[in-house]
Amino acid sequence: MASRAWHAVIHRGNRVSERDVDAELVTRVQAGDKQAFDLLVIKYQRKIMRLLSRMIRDPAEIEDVAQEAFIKAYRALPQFRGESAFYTWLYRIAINTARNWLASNKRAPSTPSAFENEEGETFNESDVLTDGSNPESEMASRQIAETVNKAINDLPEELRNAIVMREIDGMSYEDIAQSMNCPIGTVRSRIFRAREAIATRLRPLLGDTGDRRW
Amino acid sequence: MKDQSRFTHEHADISKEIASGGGEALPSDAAAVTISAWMDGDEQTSLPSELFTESGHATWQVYHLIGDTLRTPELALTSKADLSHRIAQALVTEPALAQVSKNSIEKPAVHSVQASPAPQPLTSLAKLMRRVVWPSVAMAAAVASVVWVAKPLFVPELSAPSVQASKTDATRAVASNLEASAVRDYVTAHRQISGPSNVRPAAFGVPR
Repeated sequence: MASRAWHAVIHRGNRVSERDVDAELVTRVQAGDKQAFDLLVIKYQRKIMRLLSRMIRDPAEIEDVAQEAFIKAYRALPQFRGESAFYTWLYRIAINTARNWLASNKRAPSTPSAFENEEGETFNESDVLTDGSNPESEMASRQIAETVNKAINDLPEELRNAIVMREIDGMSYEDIAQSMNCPIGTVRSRIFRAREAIATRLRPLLGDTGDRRW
Repeated sequence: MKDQSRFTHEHADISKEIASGGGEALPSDAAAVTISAWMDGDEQTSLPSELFTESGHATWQVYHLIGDTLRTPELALTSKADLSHRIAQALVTEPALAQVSKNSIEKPAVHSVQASPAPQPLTSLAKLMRRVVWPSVAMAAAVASVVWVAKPLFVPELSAPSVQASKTDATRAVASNLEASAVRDYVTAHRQISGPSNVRPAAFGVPR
């Protein structure tokens, strides 16, 4: 019972820090930094497109509506007070944008229950979203998933455990350090090394040479 | 400050670990470590400036792709579907939000807090004025007004004769005015015209 309560604290704490990351980027955008908005787009574009794929069939139209939703969000950011999480707010904008788009095009949503889950967090994992819905892009997406899985399996155990605790279990660095009985600096290092090991295999698929200029 | 030094120390540990256990350590790794930690909400890491470079964007993108793919394999989307370039291009024509806020839209609470100037510390003269001089002046003014109002009540000879004298003077003035021939003629004429009452019959001057 106590461990369950502790687990809840862990997850609550983690959500707060995730929210802080978004809040810092939002504050920068509100101060006039457009690049910070790019980072939010990069972070949430896949989730938004998956959300929209529940309502719109054509992938090209999904991209158009997603772009419109992000631009609406950018314009509305001065009114965003942070009362809800940024992603919740963004999802609502995306849903409303899709509704308006469907109404203006006199179409029904592709799934009747598409409007029910407005936050997009509880959709079935079996919902398929492909970028382009053609065999090539489907294959590319499958290849990315397989590469990530294979890279995870090839990691040393300590790196694999660290990245799984962070990305899948959503644990904070403090809790991972406690769980692995090591300093936080080591956790930071292990998660970074795990990410880099996976990224090194992914970059050729993404057309990224991996050259860094900092 | 303590946290900062702790972080610096741990950061050095990371570099050692990368060099010893993680293979070849690149000079760029320190920035990528910071990005990796910051995106996880690590409290000891502040927003890395390298995030706002092209390479920083690429790192941010691939790290989030890894996370999304691990949690939901259906989110393993290729860069073909990357909307960020399209959106960035679309936003080129948009004004920066800080300008928009200044010109037309109500400023967010965050900005009003940031934009408001920090309160200046009071100078010693201002402190003296605020704590001693102004309260003293206010007290003196209150005492003076009470004395000015209450003085006639406690010293009757100062108030009563003057009132009586002023009444006598007024009566004398009215009497002398009435005695004046011009005024007397005027009053007589007025009485003849107006009659005993203020309301005159419509057929005034017509014999009944």
